[in-house]
Amino acid sequence: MRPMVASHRFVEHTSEVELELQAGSLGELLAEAARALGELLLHGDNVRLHESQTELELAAHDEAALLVDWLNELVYFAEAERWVPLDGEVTVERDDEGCRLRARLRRLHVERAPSQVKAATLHGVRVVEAEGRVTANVILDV
Amino acid sequence: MSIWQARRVSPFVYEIDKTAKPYMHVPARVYADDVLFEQIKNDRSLDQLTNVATLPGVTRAVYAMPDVHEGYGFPVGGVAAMRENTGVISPGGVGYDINCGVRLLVSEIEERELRPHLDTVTHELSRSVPSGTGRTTRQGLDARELDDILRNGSQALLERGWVTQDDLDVTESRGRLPGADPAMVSDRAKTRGHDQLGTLGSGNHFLEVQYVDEVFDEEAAKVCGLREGLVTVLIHTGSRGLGHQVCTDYVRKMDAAMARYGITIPDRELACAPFTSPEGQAYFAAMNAAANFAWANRQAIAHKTREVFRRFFGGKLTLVYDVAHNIAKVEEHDGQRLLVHRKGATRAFGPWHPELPPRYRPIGQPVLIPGSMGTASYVLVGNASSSELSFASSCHGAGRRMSRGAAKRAVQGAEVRRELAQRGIVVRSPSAAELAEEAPLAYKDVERVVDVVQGAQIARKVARLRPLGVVKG
Repeated sequence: MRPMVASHRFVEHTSEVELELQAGSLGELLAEAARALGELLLHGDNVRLHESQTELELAAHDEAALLVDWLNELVYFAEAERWVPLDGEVTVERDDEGCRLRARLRRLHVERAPSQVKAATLHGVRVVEAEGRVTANVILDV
Repeated sequence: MSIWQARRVSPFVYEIDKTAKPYMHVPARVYADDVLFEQIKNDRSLDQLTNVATLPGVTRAVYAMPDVHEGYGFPVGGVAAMRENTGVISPGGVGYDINCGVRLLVSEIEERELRPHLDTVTHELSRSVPSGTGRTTRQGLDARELDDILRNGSQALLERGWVTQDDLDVTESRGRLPGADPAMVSDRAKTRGHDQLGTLGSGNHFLEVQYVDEVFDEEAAKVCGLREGLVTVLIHTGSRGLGHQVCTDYVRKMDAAMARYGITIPDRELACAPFTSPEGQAYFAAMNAAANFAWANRQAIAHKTREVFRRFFGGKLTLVYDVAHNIAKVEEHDGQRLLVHRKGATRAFGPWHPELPPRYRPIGQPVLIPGSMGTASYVLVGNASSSELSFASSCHGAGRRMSRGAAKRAVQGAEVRRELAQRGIVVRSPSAAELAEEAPLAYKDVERVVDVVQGAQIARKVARLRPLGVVKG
């Protein structure tokens, strides 16, 4: 079986933005979520400065919370440190406490803080792992 | 019974019985006429509203205003009241933009005096008030200044000369909620907000120069200082990144804490905790602080707007009222103290309510309803019956009916700008795409929404305002 290529699309929502994701593993899905958010945050006019690498760690009590917290972490850095994620690698470890991610990201520094996204929400958030693929839906407040 | 089997119980009220969904404690009531109700059924508003009816301690009924549309957790345009001692508080019932709200100022000049300067004045306002994505003030607040604003709201701006006692008298809660505690606001929230005081932000936020097009209630309009032809300014914004982060922080905390309190909910974005619990009280203190930041933000924008008007026209810009439409407040209804969550809903106290400033006690609280870009806005005042009808809550705008993507497919930004220009309306917007996203066709008909509020006896119309110049966030 060919490995699944991670992908995302933005689904219509009356007032917000719904992000639909699929990947071969939870780590790949979280990396794809970062790419998708970066795409959304780079929309519009902004001055692109330079690229750099960063490493981040995050823990949550389940997979859905990890996805939402991960996106919110990136929303915070976009506004506070003025960079957006481009792509990267994410690994996930799980234990009885929940799950933890370690990410190595390529990021783009920008002149103005991108604040199109207020937050990722837990509304209807869904992370499903089955038959070698992981799918997820999450709504972003914009 | 399913949520789709709503009964029309009066000309402007549809009711969904509490048997419609498992664990609903109270019925759901929707203020709408037949046209609006059909639009409301097109998204997940009713599903979200009936989810709210399952929250612990919810009382009487949950309400949807006629501008309701799907959001996350609560629908936007949703109202729910919880018993103070046994109910919960839910950050999702307030939303990410804590104390998003509206303020109206009235000038001493007539529309005809402004017209020759409209383009320049709108341009100057767009330069003075940072708007759009990532626009911040040049100089941020230091930690002491920010804590002062979180604790004291608009009142913290007295020393700077940016606010007057008259302004405070006609700002909801005098621009300061007393239960605010800056220590409950995270460093991240403070980092996001420290350089955003006096900024509009993006999305549907705006500053609009308008004129009074029609007066419906002469007596109430006189009390508000409004008469036909006068130029007004409407400011719509909230607590910016600071409020967004407060909501993010506390949804996360409550999502983790709910199991400890034995609370189960149908949607995790309704994450909540007992109001009297440490988590509930911490969120309430942080939410009050973010609300104070929002009042100071709108006051700072009003100050900059006054400076521009003074340069061009001299004279005063007098604050008519400032009201929140994303907030949770303890109020008395049905003879008991309740925590009223309003998400995309405007408080609408009737005449002689003790929380109203003396000037508005005889007529009721001004309710400010912005229309969509290029359409009319309304000033209403709350009726005496509003408490029993909707916990004294009204609509907060026209209400979206079309996604941003659909709006952009339906119309181009340049087309919107041209159409507005043909009607004599000047627009300053960060981008053409954002102009299309906020095009009037993406929203419900504000006239119909306001007519439902009046028909249902929640509030009555005082005046209609027409746009002249729009600075879009």
